[in-house]
Amino acid sequence: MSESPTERDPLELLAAEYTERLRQGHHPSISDYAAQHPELADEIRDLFPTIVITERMKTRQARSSDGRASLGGKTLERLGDFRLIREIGRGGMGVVFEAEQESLGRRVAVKVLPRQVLLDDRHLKRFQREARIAANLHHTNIVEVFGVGDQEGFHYYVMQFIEGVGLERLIPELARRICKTTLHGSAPSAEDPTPTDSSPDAGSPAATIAQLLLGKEPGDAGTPLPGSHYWRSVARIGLQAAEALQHAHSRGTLHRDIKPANLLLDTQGTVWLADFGLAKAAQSEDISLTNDIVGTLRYMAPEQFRGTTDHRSDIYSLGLTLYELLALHPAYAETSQSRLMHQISQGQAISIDPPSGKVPAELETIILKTISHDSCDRYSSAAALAEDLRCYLEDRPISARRVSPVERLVRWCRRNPSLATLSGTTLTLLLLVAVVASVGYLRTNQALRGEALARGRAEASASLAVEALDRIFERLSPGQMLTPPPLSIEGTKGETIEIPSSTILSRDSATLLEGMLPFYDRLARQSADNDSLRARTAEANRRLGSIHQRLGQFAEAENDYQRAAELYQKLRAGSPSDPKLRLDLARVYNEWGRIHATQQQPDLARKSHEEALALMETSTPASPASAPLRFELARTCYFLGTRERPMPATAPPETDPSRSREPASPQRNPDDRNKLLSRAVTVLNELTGSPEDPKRAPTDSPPHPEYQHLLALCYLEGATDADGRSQGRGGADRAIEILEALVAAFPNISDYSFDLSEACIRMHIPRPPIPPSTQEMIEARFARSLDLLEKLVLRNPDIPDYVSAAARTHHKLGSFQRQMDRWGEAEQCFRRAVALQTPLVKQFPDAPRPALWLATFRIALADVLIRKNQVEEARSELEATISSLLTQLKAKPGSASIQDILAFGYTKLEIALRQSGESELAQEAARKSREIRNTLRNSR
Amino acid sequence: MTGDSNLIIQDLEKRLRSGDQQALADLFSRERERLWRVIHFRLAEPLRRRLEPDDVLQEAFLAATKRLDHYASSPTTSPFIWLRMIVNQTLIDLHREHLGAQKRDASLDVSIHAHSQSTSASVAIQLVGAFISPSRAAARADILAAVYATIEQMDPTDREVLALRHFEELTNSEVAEALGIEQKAASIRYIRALRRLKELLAQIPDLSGELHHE
Repeated sequence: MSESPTERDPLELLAAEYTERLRQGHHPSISDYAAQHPELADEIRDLFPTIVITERMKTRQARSSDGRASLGGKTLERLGDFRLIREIGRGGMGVVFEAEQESLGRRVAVKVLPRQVLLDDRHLKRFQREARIAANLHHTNIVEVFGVGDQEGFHYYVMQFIEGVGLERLIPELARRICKTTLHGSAPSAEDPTPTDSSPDAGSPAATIAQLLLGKEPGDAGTPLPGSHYWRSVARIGLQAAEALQHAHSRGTLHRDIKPANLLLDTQGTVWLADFGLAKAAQSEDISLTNDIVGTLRYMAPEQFRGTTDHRSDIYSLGLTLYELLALHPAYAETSQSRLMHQISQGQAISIDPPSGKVPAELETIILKTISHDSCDRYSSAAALAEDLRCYLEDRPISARRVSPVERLVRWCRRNPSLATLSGTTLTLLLLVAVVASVGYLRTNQALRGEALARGRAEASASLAVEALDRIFERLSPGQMLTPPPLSIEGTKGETIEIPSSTILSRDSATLLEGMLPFYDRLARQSADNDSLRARTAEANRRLGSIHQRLGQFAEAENDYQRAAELYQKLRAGSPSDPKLRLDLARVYNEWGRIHATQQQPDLARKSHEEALALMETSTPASPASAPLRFELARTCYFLGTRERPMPATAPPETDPSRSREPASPQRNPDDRNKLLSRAVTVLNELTGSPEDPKRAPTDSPPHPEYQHLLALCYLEGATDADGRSQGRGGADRAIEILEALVAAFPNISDYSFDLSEACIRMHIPRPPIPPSTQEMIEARFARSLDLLEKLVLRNPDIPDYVSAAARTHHKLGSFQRQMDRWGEAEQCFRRAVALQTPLVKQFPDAPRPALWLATFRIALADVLIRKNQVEEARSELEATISSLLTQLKAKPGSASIQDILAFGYTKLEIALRQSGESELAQEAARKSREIRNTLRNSR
Repeated sequence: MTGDSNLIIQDLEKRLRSGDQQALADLFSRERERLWRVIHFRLAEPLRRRLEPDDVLQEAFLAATKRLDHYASSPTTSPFIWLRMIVNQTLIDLHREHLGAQKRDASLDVSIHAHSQSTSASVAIQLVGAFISPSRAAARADILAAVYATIEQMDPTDREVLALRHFEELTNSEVAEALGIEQKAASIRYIRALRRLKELLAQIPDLSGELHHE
């Protein structure tokens, strides 16, 4: 970004320079400027005073490049009555000196704020007020504040001098000592903020105090792991700090910035709380939000991000400080500010996991209560916290209860208001999962400790949890076997271009599914040392994968599947002939394949499915394959036999009937596909025990609905076959017949209704003239499809796929009506499609597909309007659509699908304009359409 | 701008365009002061009691982290101008959230920042703050009204240029970028606006004394 001076007004250049010097604190003389630039002297004299005035009010900011306070290179030796002895600390807020108050001959600590700070009256007053309040706090555990003063623009804060060490320096020292004796052996954190005596040797205060806490003599070789003495030391620190807080809180004073650096420990083991009220005093000053921000943010309570602070926020920050003392690492270790804030505001459950040793359960319970995400779950007062710590120290029962996973879940739900829209059943299921998962987790832990008896139970509850989760999962996101039809539009040469649609989850479902991740994750990450647990873990990974898959997080899903596959393979190495393992592994491969398919990687998809197929084919020899395995085999054949680009549901009918479908590159040839599909059909028929006989198609409650379901899908897939139309029609009919039976038997299973609605409209609509009987059939199918979808939408308003299917069906029906020259009906259909689709676009502003569909519907509507001679409305419809497409194109430059629709839109606009006699504008539209098509042709 | 800091900025820009979150944090702390000024300047009076500029900054930073990927994939402005846009958007959102529709007062809606405090009002408040000592607080409201009316008479772009140069501390090239005009035009506009401001302020009796040099 270089300024090019030659182009700039010379007076402006001078003004800029002058302003810059003013800002740097020089006092450039206007007369000098005028004298140096005689040609501009008058203007300088005329205008520069206005600059001075305009700049004058500007403030008040301490410039410090490294985020720490700086005194601007000034060496201070004395401030009033105070003789500064040495610098003892430096933080974001100021520099702390040890000093002597000469009149009283006492040692004090003086915190000096950088010069430019507090120039503003308002802030200065606040600083003084807060200092006065802090000076009124007298408590054995609060660093006393003697007063404030200022000299040469430096404001300072005089406090009691404590011969002690801040916890922020003590914790790394403790960690160093403990880690030295454990395997980790890692060095203490290097981020010691104090330059002075940064490497505490045995004689330093930090070392002495560390020894004191650990309860060992200094110089003891190989300090052992922290034991009960240490835990009690931490509890005593917490107790004193809590009492100090209670004292302040009862006087209406909040600390607002409790963190390890503000807790000092002296050699007597006494805790000193420092910097009361300073955070508030410095609020909104630059210095409070410099690079030091992360150091402060890390201990902030989640509600403080929302701008509400009360005494329970202090309790929270104290809890996190104590947590760090126990765990010897911060609870939230994130160093990036934004991620840190995210972590804290999510309140991800944390357990205390010190590098060595085990924190006593009571103490852990107390600390975890103080750091509850919601302030109402914490101790109601610092006194209550102090009391519980005292109970712990005196071996009396504590009041805090361990929060069960169920409660944690309830709390989580409370934080996610979208859950209010969920049905009670789903919530109940969620609770069930929480219970089962936690029991399973506990038992797993027991099992890992080698209690053989617990093993079986651990496994059983883990599997129960997985099952319960699966049920919720299915409710939230319909398990579509059928890929929704892609969006198809007219290409440049009249060919059809298809944009695959993908499942969009409603926001609520996505939130919930995301919330389920930790449960699965916990199951998935258990370190399984025996095979049956390993199998559960593998399974949990598989489910984790499918959640990620539904959430559209494909990379994560692939990771999960990969982990699952590895675990299964490991298991198979132990028992290569286990058919169950083979089945599970095949399932993983199949799901993996489906991810590839959604990501438009047909080659990889086929490879995955083929791998699954190979696995299951090796299983046939001696022992007959189990039913689930045969079913999976049928599924695999179905996936492999499915056309990689399903038939478009919505091709504009007036496009050239001879349009050539773009050959999909690695397309399996139809023969192979038919073979695979008939193999699937054979397997499924064997499974249901019925020969391929339409009359035996299930009439009442079929025993294995999933077999029937897949069978229907296979028939349907045959039906959409490009060249086997006559055979296909029979297939579609059979599919509909089976699905109708399924829907009759299981009216509440949405998948069946949904697939039936799709099956009904997957039909070839012949060109007119259409015999009346066919026409009737087509209309009946549309009516059935719409009827099903309407019910689905009513029942599941939060599943956008159903709404969008309804919109697409109306569109397709509209196209049929138009073909039949029923303009009024067609118009109604397109209007309905637009009305259904519009809210979806608003709901998913970032997903491109809903918007593209909407554009397609609106263009279709405009087309009908043109035919009906409602040219004005058609024109405004088209113009609005084009403008929204242009916006989309800006966000996704070069997108072929957007450009295709855009070209189509311009073509229609041209017609509309020509009809209303605007031939010039019409030519312009035609030109644009041509231009886009040319660009597209060249890029293809 | 020294060569050194130029290099640093170029490096930051490069890292930013690769979506580096740390670079964003660095840029943010580098530009913090100026961004703070934007907020300080644009925050409407009624909101000042409820929001500190730092709160807004924090919000803006969060918004920027969310939008970094988008910026990295298609940077259309320099990083500072991008951040400034985000800060302004954050301000608009906060104003909307806190003040709702009541703020749609047509008389204040003249600035290009339709939802945050109008530039006129901000300039007036800042200027009067500079002139009037607290002891003359009683006169403050009257003069504020006079200055406001004065600023209102300025051409909107001129007004904006002044505000950007002095209250947000943008350089000439940044002003050009922010307003989408040529650097030359920005430079000429600035001097013209300064001149106009001087003339207008000179008409306010209480202020005219301040405007004469020596």
